[in-house]
Amino acid sequence: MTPLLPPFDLPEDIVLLIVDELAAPADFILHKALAEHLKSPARRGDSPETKLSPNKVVILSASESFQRWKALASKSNLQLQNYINNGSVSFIPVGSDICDDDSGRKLRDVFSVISEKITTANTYSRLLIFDDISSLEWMGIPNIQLQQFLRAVRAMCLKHRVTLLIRHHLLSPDESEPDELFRFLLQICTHHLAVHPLASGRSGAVTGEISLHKGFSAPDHDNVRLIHRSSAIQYNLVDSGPDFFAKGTSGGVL
Amino acid sequence: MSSFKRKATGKQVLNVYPGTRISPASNLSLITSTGISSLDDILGGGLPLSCSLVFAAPDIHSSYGDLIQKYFIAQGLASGHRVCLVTPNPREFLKDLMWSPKGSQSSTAVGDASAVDSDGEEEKDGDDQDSESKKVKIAWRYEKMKQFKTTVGTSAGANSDREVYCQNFDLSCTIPEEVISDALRTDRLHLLEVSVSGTSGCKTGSALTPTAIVGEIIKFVSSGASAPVRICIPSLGCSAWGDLSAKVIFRFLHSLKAILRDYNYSCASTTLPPSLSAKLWGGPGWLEKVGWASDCLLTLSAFTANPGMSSIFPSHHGLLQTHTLPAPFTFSPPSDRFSTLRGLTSSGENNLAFKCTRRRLIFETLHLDVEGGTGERRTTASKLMDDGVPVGTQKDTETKPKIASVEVQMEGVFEEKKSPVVKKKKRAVAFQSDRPELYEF
Repeated sequence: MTPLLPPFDLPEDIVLLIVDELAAPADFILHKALAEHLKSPARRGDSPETKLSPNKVVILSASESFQRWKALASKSNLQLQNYINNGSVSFIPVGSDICDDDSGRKLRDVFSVISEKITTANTYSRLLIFDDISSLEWMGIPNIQLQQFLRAVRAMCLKHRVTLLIRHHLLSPDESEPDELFRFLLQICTHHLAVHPLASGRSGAVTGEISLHKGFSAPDHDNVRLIHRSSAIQYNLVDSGPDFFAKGTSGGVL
Repeated sequence: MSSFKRKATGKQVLNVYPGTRISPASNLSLITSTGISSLDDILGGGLPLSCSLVFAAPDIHSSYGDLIQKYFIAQGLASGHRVCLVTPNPREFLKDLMWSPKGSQSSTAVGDASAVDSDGEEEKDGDDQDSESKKVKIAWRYEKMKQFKTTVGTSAGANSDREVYCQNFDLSCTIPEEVISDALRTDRLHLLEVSVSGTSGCKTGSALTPTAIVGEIIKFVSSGASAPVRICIPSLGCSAWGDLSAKVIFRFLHSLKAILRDYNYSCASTTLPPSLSAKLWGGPGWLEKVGWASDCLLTLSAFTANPGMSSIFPSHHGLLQTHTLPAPFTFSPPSDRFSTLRGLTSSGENNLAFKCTRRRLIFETLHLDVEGGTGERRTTASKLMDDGVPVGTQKDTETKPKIASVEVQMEGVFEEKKSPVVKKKKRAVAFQSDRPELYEF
């Protein structure tokens, strides 16, 4: 089985929480996961041994349009429209009208759509990307409804062995306490990937740094190499995607 | 398989409208000018269509946020774009819109002056400085270096379409009435009046809630794709909008962003009023939330309420802070690669500031003065320096008992106090060729 998201080498079937800040958005992690999942030869379903349909990815997008997903996927030589057409990728947009109804009925509708896409796909490997949970909270969906929704999605992913990626935005992490939703997400995730901007401000050679922590739901026997904040991997975003390097070894430094 | 791959298809599939250009970062998106060339540079060439731009203007004594919106509308009208203005008093807002000076629109000669040179006040100073600088002998190794500049000029190149892309607006000129009436008549300018009561001549005849405004915007944007659409919302959430919560404003901005993505020939510029521009207005991290709900968030912090800052930076009127910048089809904002003012290609990000002269608003890099940031002494002089008497010699005067005294003067009789005029001795520095190790002061 090919590890997920090199150089972090995460196992499959995990619940990965990705947190980012406004100065260092983690879009590229989601796009990298999507591209690698669709392109990885180990997961290619059309091999004669497996006899399974191609890999399946469900994108639940609350903040970005399909056009942007398509444009950024093309930088990894992926024609997303073709994958949509053959059913490998399902794109579910979530608009601001989701909070028109206070009873949480619309969230239940979204869950049933995801559930249908995931359970009907008879594939070797499945990935669910939820690109922005914070926007739903800021739009006014009650916390309790969001937590119920997340709990249901997580249970479904564990049951069907689906890898789940959830992105959450941190707000001024140095000044304020972690909010309730973030604490809940830390509880349900198995791993926690944090993308931070440089504390010294924007730089031309280094965009930000990434650390990897264990979540509260991580299994005991876990071989993932964790990355502490003090030895975080740094990255530089170029046109084609991120370049990773160890701290202090960027092009501008050496 | 060859390791070489073609970087770009080279096919131009986009319909380039007047007043727009293909983005230097991606041939999938078009950019358009905000009306201020230096702001365009900060955005990476201009505002991409399908993107929303939000300004936070926390200063209550100034209206630089409104000024930028006026530039945005004026540029839209000059480029023949369709403009939708959403504000409590749209007619009043349009009254003092800036415009290009007569003759400059047709001639191409105006634009080649730099931003600072084309300003009336500084033109004179600039001439003086030029003549002065000719006299100065510059060391040969520095002679060929470019002159230090703090901002970018209107001329980004020798393109003939330059004038159409970013007009050379003059704040001392106001827009002719016929331009507005013509735009209204042809429906290129659409006014949406926001009012709580809906009695003050509101076009729709009733109070417009944010949801209704979103509906009106969709109606206007979807009515035609013949020209790019600019949505301009000065002071979103001010008192005329009613008592809006942070969630409602977030949802409005989120919906606006979704509309722009659906109709990719449109763009929007919004200003938050001072009360909503406070960092903690809608709870912790309010401005960051706004940044996530829009494509670009900039803060204009004017110095009017802070005399300390104005004295430190006398040549600027405020600071510009970039929170997030538009990147519609790329991982990183094109501004990181193409902005001269931000300067990220060479090193860390520059500090940015703005100044408003008699004729234009300019964004530029912020630097301390050559002497270290101050033109005059800011600490009080020591006693010894004040009157020439050493401090120790005043001891005996201090030991004398102090008696309270009141000075009484006859009414109408004023003694003219002549303050002694002490002429400061000019400090002369000279280099003596016969004694190279010594300077004479």
